Amino acid sequence: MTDLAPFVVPNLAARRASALVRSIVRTFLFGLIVVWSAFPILYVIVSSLKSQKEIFKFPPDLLFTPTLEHYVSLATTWNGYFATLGNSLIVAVGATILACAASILSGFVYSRYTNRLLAGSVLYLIAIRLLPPIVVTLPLFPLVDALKLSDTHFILIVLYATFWVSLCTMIMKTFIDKIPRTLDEAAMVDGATTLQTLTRVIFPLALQGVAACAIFVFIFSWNEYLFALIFTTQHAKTAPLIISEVMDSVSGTNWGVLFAGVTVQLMPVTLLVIFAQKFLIAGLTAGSVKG
Amino acid sequence: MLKRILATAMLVAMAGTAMAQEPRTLTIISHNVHKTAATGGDLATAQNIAGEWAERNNVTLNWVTLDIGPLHDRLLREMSLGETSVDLAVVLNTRVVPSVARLLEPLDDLMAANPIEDLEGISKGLLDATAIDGKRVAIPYRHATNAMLYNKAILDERGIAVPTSLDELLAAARAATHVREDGTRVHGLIITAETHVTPLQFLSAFGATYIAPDLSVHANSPEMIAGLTELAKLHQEGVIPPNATTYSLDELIATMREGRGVFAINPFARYTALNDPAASLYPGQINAIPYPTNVAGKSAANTEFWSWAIPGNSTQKELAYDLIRELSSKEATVRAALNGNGPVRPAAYDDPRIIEKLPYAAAEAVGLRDASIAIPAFDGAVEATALFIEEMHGALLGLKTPEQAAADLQTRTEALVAKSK
Amino acid sequence: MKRLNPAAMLMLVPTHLLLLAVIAIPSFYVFWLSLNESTYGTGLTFVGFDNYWTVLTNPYFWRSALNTLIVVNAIVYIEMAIAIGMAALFIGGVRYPKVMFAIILMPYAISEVVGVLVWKIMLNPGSGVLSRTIEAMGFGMVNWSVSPPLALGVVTLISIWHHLPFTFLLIYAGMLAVPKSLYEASRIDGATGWQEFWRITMPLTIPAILISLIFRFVFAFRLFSEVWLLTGGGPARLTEVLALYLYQSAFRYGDFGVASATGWLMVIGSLLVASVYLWAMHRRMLKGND
Repeated sequence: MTDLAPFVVPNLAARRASALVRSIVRTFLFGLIVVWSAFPILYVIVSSLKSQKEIFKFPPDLLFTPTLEHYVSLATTWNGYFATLGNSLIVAVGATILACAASILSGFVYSRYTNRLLAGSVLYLIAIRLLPPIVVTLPLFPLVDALKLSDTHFILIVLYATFWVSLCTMIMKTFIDKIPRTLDEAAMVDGATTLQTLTRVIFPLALQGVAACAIFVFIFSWNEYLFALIFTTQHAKTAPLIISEVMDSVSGTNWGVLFAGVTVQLMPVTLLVIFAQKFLIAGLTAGSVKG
Repeated sequence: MLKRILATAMLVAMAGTAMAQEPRTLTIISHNVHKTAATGGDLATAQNIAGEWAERNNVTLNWVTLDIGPLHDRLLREMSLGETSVDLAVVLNTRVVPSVARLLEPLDDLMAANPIEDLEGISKGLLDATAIDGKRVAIPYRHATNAMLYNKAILDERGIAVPTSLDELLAAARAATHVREDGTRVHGLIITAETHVTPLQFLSAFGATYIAPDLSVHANSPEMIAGLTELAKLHQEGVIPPNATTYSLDELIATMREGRGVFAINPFARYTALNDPAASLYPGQINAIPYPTNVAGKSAANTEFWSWAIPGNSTQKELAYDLIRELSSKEATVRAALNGNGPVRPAAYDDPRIIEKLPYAAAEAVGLRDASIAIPAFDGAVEATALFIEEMHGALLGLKTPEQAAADLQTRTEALVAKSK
Repeated sequence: MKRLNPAAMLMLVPTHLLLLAVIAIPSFYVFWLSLNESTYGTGLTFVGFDNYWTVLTNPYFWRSALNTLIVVNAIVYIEMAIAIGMAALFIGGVRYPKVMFAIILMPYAISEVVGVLVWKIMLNPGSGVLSRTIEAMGFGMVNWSVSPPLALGVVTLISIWHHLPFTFLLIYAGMLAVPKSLYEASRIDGATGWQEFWRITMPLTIPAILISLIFRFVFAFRLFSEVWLLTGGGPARLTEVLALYLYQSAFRYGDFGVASATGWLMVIGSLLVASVYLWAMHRRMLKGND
């Protein structure tokens, strides 16, 4: 927006000065955001490389000899950890795909069709999420057990996806709302079915929304604790359960190992975010085409 | 129904074939410390008691470890089902209450058929607390008895003698409180007032009892008021950390390891963690002794303990009981203690292997001798701890006078006990 | 806008089937539980609305309701303001977008429990890195552990820190989806950046804002870990919030009737708190968008 300014306003020097101020303020704000977001995380990552004695030292050592001892003991003492990471991955990917697929379908319908009942069901979609999940586990536990679904990846995938379909449906709806109807009408005229219109025309243009939904569902499923605790024992046990065992209330938390585990656990999510960011930007360019 | 027919068909098909060779799976739900006690975990000197039993009996152990809160939640949910896959579980003493005992398998018949070696050798207080309405529902396995832990290096540095009575302890804690040159505060006494255990221990040295085993409530006693008054004073003077009410076990451990605390109330077994050369700035300098009272020769020791129990809806009760029997034998008790367990048989402390391995063995034996259970098992036990924490916080922070807090605690707990009876 | 047809209804099936099976039907059962007395391993004893009466006459319930109301509103609105500001900043262009996104989303990526614990370690009065730095700067000791308002302030701070990426991402994605052509048109008309923001960006981001507001209310209302791990509801139960109250009755005292009743009261409470936005959303739906 600033690059157009010189054309319009004659007072060049003043404009440049204000552009400079603006750029300084922007840089400062970005810096602030980075510190705010990253400081506690850096604390975790740096601590994971310190020996147990150095972790809580004040003032903290900024220069220290990094040690991988906590990662080693994570792999040896807590040898279940890496196996459970595999379970976490299966569950998180499964839940992400299921939730995104279901929400694209329903988001499309909520965006394109009108019906009094449909409008009312939006409220239902939200209201149903108001009951705290912990109470819902009361009836779910015996139900899942009776269906012999306890300790399976399947049940966690279904549960996690369900917790997010409401929100993801709403997200997909708002994104699809912004895609001009003329596009799907044109596709229909060309003989495409509703489903084809959705997958070929709408989906590529709604990628930002899909990316946002995927990030939310994945992160949630990757870190979820309560339901994993209640519905798994061995076979489908996820990584957060091991992390919680490291935070032990009988013999005390093993901080070094905890921080190492958390650092390992952060990595896939960070990769996902970097990957998904491409789609957010892809959506941006798509956005310039429509309208 | 179909399931049952299928199962029967399977059994018939398998009868007489290689069925006996098929290893059975026994699912155990416990905290990690019990697994370590029974198997030695990854200790170099591991005594794999449960593992040896499993091999002898052709059983695969499926060990599910959880933290305390989740452990009981999960166990209770499992026991509410028609049938559970959990065969064996540990329960904390405050959870062995009538409403839970209903869901546990009474062990008396199993014990009559196949007795546990020298049952009377297990501490009587612990045995009594695990028999509900005359039925034995659990076998004590691990105790955590509170001690006075102190940093010898700091005491020496400041010329303070190791206290032998409660008054001396309070004076020493005050004298030990100081600010180091770099601005670090060193607190004389560390308690974890986030929960009820260590404050109750502090108060018990004054002779205060919250709820007696016969469920009479003594919250409004002069001893309790004296203890609460002292607690508030220590907090005001900064002897106890300013954030004592949010102090967790983790903070206590960190504080003691870094020499920011001089005396601490915690179980004897904490000795190992506090002296760990890899983590502590004072390895070998933190001692554990019986918590003194003003009565010579008598220590104050609140204890918490864990027991093995079998869910009433388990399908392999005999097998599970056989493992309990194995783990409760005299020899297994000693071997588990070598794995770091708090042995529930006082005689174990006389075993030379234990005397050699645990520097605090003699002190803990004294502690266990004087031990009393912090809160007796009744249906309102968990709620009673919450009441205590609330009123104790009120007194400690000066939101209420100690007298008022004690009186309120008395009234509310009496109502709770009456309701639970 | 088209009339709902069978093909479209079929596309709604996955979403509604999941919700029905996992949440809706169990929720009705929870309502039935709330009319009964029960605990682990017992049958149900019908008691009518007794459990609701028990909860509603309990002063601790009302204190935790008040705490929840204050904290939830603080969290949601402060977070929203920051998120909108941040999204606007990012829309104006960002260098190293991949790295920036990875950093910004990190607080959300870390598990809630660990996030809270790390903040607690850093803020521990007298020993935490942050609190000692604050002290070294001459501001004295900030002992939030004995002051309910301060403790709830820290809870608000941590909750915002943890969830800001969620709100930011929704709003940023919403702003990104505003068609470029609109900005081009307004620039030709000589609008300043500020005017563009208020006339184009904001109005077109309202749906995204509405959704994130509603869902943040939903999530914030069951705020648990922050309080549980920081203060445990103390000192003297002064910082308790509704989810904590519920957790105690359900899983520590095993009173499923009271827990279920509290759960349903929380539904009503959050409906009331978010009602304005829900109503706005419903109206937009009825109008058929745009």
